[in-house]
Amino acid sequence: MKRQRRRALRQPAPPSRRRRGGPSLGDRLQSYLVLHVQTAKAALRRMRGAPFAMALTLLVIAVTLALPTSFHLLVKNLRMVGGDLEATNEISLYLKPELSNDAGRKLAERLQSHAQIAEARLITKEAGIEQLKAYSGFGEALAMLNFNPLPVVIGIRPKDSLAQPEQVERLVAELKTLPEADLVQSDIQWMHRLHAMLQVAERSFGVLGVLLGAAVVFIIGNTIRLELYGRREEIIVQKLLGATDRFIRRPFLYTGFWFGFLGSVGAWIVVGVMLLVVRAPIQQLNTLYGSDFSLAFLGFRESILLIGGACFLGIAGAYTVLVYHLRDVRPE
Amino acid sequence: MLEFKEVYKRYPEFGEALHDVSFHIGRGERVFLTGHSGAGKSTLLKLVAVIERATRGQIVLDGQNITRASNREIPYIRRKLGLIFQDYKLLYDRPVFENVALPLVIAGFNPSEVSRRVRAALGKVGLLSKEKRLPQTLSGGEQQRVGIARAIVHKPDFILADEPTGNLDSEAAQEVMDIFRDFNEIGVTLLIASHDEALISRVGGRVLRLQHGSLAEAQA
Repeated sequence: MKRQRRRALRQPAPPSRRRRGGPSLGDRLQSYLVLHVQTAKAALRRMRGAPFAMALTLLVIAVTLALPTSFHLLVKNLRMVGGDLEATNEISLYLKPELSNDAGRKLAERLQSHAQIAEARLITKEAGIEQLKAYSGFGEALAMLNFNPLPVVIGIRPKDSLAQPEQVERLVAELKTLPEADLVQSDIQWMHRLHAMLQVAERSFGVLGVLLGAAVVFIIGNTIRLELYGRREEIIVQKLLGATDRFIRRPFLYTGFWFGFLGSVGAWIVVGVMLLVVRAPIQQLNTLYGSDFSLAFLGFRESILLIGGACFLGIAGAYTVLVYHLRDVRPE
Repeated sequence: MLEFKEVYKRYPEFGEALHDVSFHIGRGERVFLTGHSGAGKSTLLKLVAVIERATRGQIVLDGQNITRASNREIPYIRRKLGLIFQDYKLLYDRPVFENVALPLVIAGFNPSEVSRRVRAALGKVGLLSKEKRLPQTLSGGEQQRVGIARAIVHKPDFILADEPTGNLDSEAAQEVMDIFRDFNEIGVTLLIASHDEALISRVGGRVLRLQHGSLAEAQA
């Protein structure tokens, strides 16, 4: 908006122009839009003029973008696996065998009000043996016992367990000091490791993304630089005829845009194909482990982010090169 | 229209190209700039089109002191001019029509206005039937006429031509000069650099003569 206004200020119709019938403001706006559409189309046409070079460049861009994108998907899917684990993750507090259900109930109520505990669920001796009968296949053997050997158990679900593993660890240590506690069992180590791994993965994904993003800027910038030198004469003539830098830059910026856009669509397809390739073996794993995990692909927002980001990188690459090299292209 | 006040131009590599040049060209005048090769004719035209900057002195074009123009203003100064070159400077990868349309596209005219004006300009130089041809399929004289159509399509008040007939045979040169004279007669100011004295005297007009970078004489 501000830019347009400045442009309008800088381009006052000189009196002689107005007298001779220069373009009106509405005309100028219309032709400005037409110019953009035409420039975008012309840039695409020019790229199609050298299909082999274009395909090669697009392939390089697509692969470069597919790398961090697939890495991101890997982390995303691992997170989902981690999330599943978290949901089933409970700290099991086994009370001393001599303690009764009532004592357990009192302790469970006390724990329920603990700041770091989301839920403390009492599993009575009777409920425990019912579960064991139902799931273990020892039903008949257990029925032969004339006493219940199981202790009272309190299932504890900590708050925000995966986000703060240290706190969970402290909670486990605290529970161990309870006089009623016999054994405290949790998957804390495993949670710890998964959390750390995901963090490493995420951090490396970030670094990789930045590096490969920069690579895309360089690839597109270099392509634009070559085209700039190929069109030197044309630029000089345009400058002689009164073209502004903005006018001269525009087709190259559109070329950068197209490389970013088409390259990222290519990356999207590459990642999609990769996912299809690994889907079958993952489903096999699923059936083996009896899990219902399904691979996640890029969501709508992630796809938009990928394509939009690549378009931006393309324009940025073109712009950087133009700023440095357009200065050298001057008449005489 | 154009005034030079004590203009000097020194190139770091070649030394002084223009030395204390002052003159004034009124609106609607027809002026030839002549002199031996290397006398500074091209340099003088380049100063007017702000392709080069004066080392000292002032150049006033249409009331604007262009020696002080910022880089951003340069395109808008050039749009007031019609530039014609010895080597035509056409774009050979596109047809005649698009070559002539370029100044209008740059200035932001809408497509229908562009077509209308391009056809009018091509009509004036007698090339209406060749708008779809590529420049290299035309003769030298025809290419220069495309260059002229391109220089006048945005109706500038002032046309600068640097050796416009330098690459043409005498017949084509005469045709080009006739076109210039027609424009001059409808009020366009002309500044034409040429060393073809015979042609100049045949066409007639004021002559500015450069000698080793200085203005030797100004005659009517």
